[in-house]
Amino acid sequence: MSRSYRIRVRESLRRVIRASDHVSSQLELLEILPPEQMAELLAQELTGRGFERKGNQVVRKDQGISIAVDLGSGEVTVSAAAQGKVDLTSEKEGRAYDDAGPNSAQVKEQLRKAIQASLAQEADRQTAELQKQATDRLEAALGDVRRELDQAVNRATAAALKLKASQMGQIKNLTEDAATGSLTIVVEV
Amino acid sequence: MPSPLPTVSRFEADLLTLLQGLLGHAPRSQWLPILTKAQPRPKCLSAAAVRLVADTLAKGATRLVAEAGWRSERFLRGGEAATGRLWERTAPSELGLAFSPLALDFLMWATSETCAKPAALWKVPRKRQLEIGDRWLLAAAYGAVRQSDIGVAWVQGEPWRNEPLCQLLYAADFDHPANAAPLDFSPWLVPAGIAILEASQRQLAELWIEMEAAKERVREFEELRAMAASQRRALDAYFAAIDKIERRDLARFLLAAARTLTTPGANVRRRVPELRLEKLRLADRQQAYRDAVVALQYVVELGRWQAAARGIGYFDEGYAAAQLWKADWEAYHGDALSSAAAAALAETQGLVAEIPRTAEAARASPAETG
Repeated sequence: MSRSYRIRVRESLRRVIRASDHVSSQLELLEILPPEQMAELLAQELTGRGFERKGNQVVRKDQGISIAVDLGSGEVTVSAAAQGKVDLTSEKEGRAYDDAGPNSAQVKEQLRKAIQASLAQEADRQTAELQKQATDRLEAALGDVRRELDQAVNRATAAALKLKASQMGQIKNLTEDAATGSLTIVVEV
Repeated sequence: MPSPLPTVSRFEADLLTLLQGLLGHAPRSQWLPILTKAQPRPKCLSAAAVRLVADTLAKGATRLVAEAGWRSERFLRGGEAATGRLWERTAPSELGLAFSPLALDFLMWATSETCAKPAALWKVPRKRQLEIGDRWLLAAAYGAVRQSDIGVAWVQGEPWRNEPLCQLLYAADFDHPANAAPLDFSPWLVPAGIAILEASQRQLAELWIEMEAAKERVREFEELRAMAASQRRALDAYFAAIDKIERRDLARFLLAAARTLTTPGANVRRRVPELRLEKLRLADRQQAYRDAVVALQYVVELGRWQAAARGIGYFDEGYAAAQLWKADWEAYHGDALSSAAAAALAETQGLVAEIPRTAEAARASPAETG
């Protein structure tokens, strides 16, 4: 009469998972003043909105959303990153006909591989979920970021127009409508 | 005494029934089974059968085009606006459709083969050219079978994948890569072809509304991409072709479709409610949103034509065409459509709202319309 042995294998997986997503686009500044001056005006406008100057870039990180504007090229990158920990443990049982012999080792190895595969699958699922969360967050933030950048570009353009007008002559009258963004400058040359 | 009725073989009778069906004159239950069963193909058809095929094509084509072209409409003729029914706007001699033996070859294939087998689809023999009538027949045949297993097979067939009219009418049925070879509309830019394009405007408007609505049921990103690429391939080639021959009035169908497609408050994401976005990165999601509103992108493009038409003065060349375009634009409330389309597209953009300048201009100066 043969006797079977119960083999139990426990495996755990600890991993730091990261997810990120980003979109890039180009800010278009009208060349009212030389590019360096336009970039400077934009930088001033953006730093007034909580951006930090870092060399030729202005950046802001807020609630997991990072916005970076390259003042030289006008490229703006908005990214979202997320990080999480996966701590998974799984246990499986099998049967072997020996206690510490070749069959037991084979069964243990099979069980270990099966557990590792299922743990890796679960880790991948959690990574995909984290990725989805990062993308969802980025997508939700994008509309506000776009509006804010549009406003910043408009205000930088208005500032450039005022500077340009003052270079051309004496500003007699300046009317600005914050609601529509329209700007009327009367210059005496 | 000889019978006054021509006598045809069983095969020829099936072929004629099939042709009647493809032209919409026989119930599907009669002709669809002919396409799904194989039968021996004779070496040739009898003279009586060929005469009947020619007669059926002549009367069937005329009837189909007449059903669409009876309305009194305005289209360009020789650079001037011409009003009337299709046959009043065009000389009868210019309305004839030429058919080649390839039309018979296609009909014999369709009658003899199991047409739902993608491996054995009909092909245009090498060094043979389709006549405009053959092209029209192929497009009409696809239109008749597209909602069946046979249509599913035919979308893989070369004659339909590269037939411009078929692609324009049923673009979303086909899947093409973004870098697919461009379509060549030149065979259709002859008087008879243009007459068919004019007569097809209402059908085109309905079909493009249907195509965009069908995206509501799409679940996979790749499927949506392929549909959109096919739609862009058709519209790019068509717009380039009609622009080249200065027949922008042939884009009227898109203005008509846009009235339905620019429903106020229709969020672009709601246009693809079934689409699985979970695994997509943001760039792909935005691409999916753009693919959901392909027709609207071209509505915005039409705004450029409107801007160009506004700039054409009384003494300029193309004044009559520009006047007709502006009249169409105003009749369909083009400014409002273009603005609504631009707003929908803005939702699909990444960071910078790229509203075309023409649409901005249209919104800024509605009083200038017309």
